[in-house]
Amino acid sequence: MAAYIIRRIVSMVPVVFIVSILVFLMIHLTPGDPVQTMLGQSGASAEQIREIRHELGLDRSWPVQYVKFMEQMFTGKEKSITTQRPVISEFWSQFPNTLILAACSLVVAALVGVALGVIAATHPRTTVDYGSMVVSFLGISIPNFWLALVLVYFFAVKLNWLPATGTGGIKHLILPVLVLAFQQVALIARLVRASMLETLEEDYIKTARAKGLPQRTVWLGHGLRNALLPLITLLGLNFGYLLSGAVVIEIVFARQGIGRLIVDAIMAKDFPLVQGAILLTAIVYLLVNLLTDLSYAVIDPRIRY
Amino acid sequence: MTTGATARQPMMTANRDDLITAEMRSERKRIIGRLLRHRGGVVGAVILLILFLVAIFAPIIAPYDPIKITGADALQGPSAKHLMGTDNFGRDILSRVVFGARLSLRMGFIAIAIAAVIGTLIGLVAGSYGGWIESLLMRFVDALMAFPGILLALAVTAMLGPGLTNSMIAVGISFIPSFARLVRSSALQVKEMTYIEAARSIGCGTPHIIRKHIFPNVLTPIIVLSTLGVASAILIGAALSFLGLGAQPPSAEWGIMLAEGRQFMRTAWWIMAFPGLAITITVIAANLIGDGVRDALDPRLKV
Repeated sequence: MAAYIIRRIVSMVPVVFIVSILVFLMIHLTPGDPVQTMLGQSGASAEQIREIRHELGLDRSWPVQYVKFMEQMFTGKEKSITTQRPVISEFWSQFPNTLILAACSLVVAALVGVALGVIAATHPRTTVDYGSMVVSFLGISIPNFWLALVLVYFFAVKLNWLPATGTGGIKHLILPVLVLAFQQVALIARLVRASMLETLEEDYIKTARAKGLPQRTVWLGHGLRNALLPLITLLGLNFGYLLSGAVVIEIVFARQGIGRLIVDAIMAKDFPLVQGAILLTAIVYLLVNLLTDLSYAVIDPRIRY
Repeated sequence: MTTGATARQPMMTANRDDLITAEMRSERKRIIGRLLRHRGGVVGAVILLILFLVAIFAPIIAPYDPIKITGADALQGPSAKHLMGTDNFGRDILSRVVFGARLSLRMGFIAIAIAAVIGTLIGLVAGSYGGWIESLLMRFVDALMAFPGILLALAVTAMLGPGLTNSMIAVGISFIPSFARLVRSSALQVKEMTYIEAARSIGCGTPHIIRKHIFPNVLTPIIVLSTLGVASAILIGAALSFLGLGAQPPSAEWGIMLAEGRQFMRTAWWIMAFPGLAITITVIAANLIGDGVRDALDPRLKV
């Protein structure tokens, strides 16, 4: 077990290294001169441009620049061009907002999705089953930013029950969480249904029934329990996805968060902030995946590494 | 098979290639048959066909110029004159939705073409050669996958700058990892087959084996992933435009229209209603076809 954990963590190192190189190269692979791009049409003199290039370290070799980039990023010396605050603290000040949004959406989606999936699997080929499959299909087909606009139109504009935009209390969370959860519900319900249907065919389910276990225990204790492993994989992957997938939703609801931070930084051509926010989001995502993998062993005692 | 051979006498003396094509033809017939019986797939195909026709004949179908500003007609609700109403510049929503089909379909297909070509190349080379080449390529793909969802497309847009073409490239790049991983795992399975061993034993080189034996046998998952991918590519493309990072105003693009309609939500619901509906219908059609193609080609395939 310990050996597996260590192996898994070590295997992450090259990936994080390549990710950081890719993010570092972003500024160098930009067509045209990045300094010129940052300055826009302001018509800076050649002298000024050289000065900025020197300040950003762009006049040195790539490996030197890379080491410096990483060092400055994580020691908080890399500053946002627009706010002049360290990139890393900009990121962490926005992170909790996105984290809360993603976590709430995932919890809501897991509860509803598992319930729908279980009902569909235990009542195959009924209206409930087909209904939940239709909902799933719509979930992956409706653009979430349009769904968000439609919900805002009905619940905020027409009915005036909920605020349309802003970051704040529970009321501000309801609509964005609903929108993000809708998509996830679809995926979760499909997965739970498929893996439960498969499990319910197994011999040990027959045994469980034969020894007189109540239907509910068979379904939940055996059927659902064995569908949990693929579910955890999906939830882990989707949690990371939600952290970044919240981008568009944060914009629609004018919420504070990582997505908004990145989009605003791209618009403002604030390269250090774009690079930092993208790098840190990717690292958080990799860490979530790591935790997901490690949780298998805890959840499924059959897995031994 | 036997009836086919007796019915067509020349088959008996035909060379091996003819036999293979005949077999492939009957296999293809079976697949097309299965596809035609797939109700969802057929519905999706019909919808997409209509959308293609709308896109091609947009100038004929659209009643008005999609980008011409007519101040006097601003913010009119749906009526006989403007079936879907007008926006704040007096532009006809129906005409803009019709022209928008061009951009969204182009986005979906070009982005997936980019991803399929590059991803397949990476996957084939990694899966067929193995060793350090595979490790290197797959670590690179893993690194790309560390940018979840729309993040990779955002990163590429940050580099290239906003715009329709750039957003197509960005969406294309963000789908490379899925293709590379799928093609690699399929290639790994094919590589273990006896006919690959046979080809190798008669002295075929790896490039030849990739082209003639591995690639044709991993085509099925590539086709399935491509059809399903078009749906997601259209969604992400529209999202980028909605954020202001894709196609730029005044283009008649569905994502842009939603972003513009959002400001007039209180007074003019129709500006944001119809483009959203258009994206949804297009994506539903593409997803239906994707499901149909998967079920017809290989129902066990998990893409």
